[in-house]
Amino acid sequence: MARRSKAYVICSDRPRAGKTLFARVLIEFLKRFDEMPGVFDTNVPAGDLITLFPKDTTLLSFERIRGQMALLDAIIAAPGRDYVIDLSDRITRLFFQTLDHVGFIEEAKTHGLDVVVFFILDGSPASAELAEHLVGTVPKAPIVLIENRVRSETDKRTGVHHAHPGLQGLLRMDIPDLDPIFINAINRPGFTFQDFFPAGALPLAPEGPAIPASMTHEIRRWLEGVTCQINQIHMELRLEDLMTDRS
Amino acid sequence: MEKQTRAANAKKTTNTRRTAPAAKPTEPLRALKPVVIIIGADKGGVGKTTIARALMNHLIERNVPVRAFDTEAPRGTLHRFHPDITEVVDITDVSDQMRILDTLDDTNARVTIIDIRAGQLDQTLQTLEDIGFLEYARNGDAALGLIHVLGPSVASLDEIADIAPRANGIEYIAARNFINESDFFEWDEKTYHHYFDQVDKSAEIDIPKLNEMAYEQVDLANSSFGDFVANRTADGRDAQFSFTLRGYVRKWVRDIDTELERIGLVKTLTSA
Repeated sequence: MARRSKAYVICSDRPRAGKTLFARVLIEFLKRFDEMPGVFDTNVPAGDLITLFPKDTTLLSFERIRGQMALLDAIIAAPGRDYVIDLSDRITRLFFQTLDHVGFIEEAKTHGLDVVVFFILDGSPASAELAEHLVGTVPKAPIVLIENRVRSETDKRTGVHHAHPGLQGLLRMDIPDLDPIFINAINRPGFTFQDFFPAGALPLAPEGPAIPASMTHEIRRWLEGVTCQINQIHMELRLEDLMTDRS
Repeated sequence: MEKQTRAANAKKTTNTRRTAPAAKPTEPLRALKPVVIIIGADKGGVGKTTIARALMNHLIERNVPVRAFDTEAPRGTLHRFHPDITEVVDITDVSDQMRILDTLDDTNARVTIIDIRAGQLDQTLQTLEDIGFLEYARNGDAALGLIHVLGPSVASLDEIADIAPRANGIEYIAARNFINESDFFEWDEKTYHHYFDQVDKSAEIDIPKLNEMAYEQVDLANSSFGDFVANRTADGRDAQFSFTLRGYVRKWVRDIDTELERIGLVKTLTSA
């Protein structure tokens, strides 16, 4: 069976939930083990992803119809590759409502591309309610709930969603905790995860002093924790594809 | 005896109907009654032709044979989108009135749509009254519907008082066209009721707003809404229309279909 392309949508109900950090890991993971995905950054005017991946990123305002066309039409026109969409928290509802209105998920499926939603929960009831709303709005897209334990990017209000009845049975992953000192290193200009994947060379930061070996070890450990789960999610989705093909 | 025209007979019917059922003006070519739907408003820019196009799309998608008359002579906007089944006429001209009314029994179309140009609705209804066509419809010899298109302005809503009484005995539908972000004074209960209590509640439909760029693209393409959604040019070739804009148009068309089905206009008229 040919591999189906994916459009990964990374979203949350609030800012600073860790969307862009997860998007960076996912983009570099896909680049490392498959091919560079197309990237859409909806955090206008100052999106981080366009700075990090300028050649492959489109910065757009999804609130404007031209932005919607720049994203949705572009994917439908070239569905043979993966995409990563970093969604501003301001447009989460609008985005999925638009997908539903224009029939994007169904159309993309006919072109061999599936939409996968990564929703970063913060443990608040509002966050769980929005996640449940998305389950109802885009029932044909798998939703992966992410609990982000990185200290600098979440207020650690966890646990509420575990009891939320509408979120039972969804795929889940945890982003492991990482000390802010490492986050600062990751956020330095020119940092790339490529050198931290297995079998990578010891990293040298392009700008500023090299990252100390002790930090390298910690970032590798953290990255492995995230990418193992991404792999796991990939396998789960592939299994679902196979089961859908057989049924 | 010379074949009499429907317009002439309708006039005659007006004078004789109350005492005895008039003879049929011509031998009907089919058992079904002709169905006529008039779409109009006296105020301009409220979306009459857009709604006419949506209604034609609704009928075509349901395999109901339809023809239309565009009264924006000499050019005609509706004609641009459905050239094969639309004629441009001058509704004030008697010969053009005959082209519409005297062919109702001869056409293969199940439904005849008349898109009235701005400012001519009241006058057209008066003409149809004068020649007896409204009476003809009231007596059940034709199924007649009037879609009165209203924009969210006092000038437009003021028309309800003038037009609704004329529609006595025929299917009258007030179409609230949300052509912009404003509403129909729903925030002011007194004003809202002042206008809309004149209308039978079952005879209201809401036309949602269509995104401006989507509307412009369909306009630019000269395509029917159905062709645009299907990504076809007006002459049936594959097109390269925006997927997103097609999606917006598809959603808008579906919403209007839902409204038309809710009031059962077409079912009511075509089953008459």
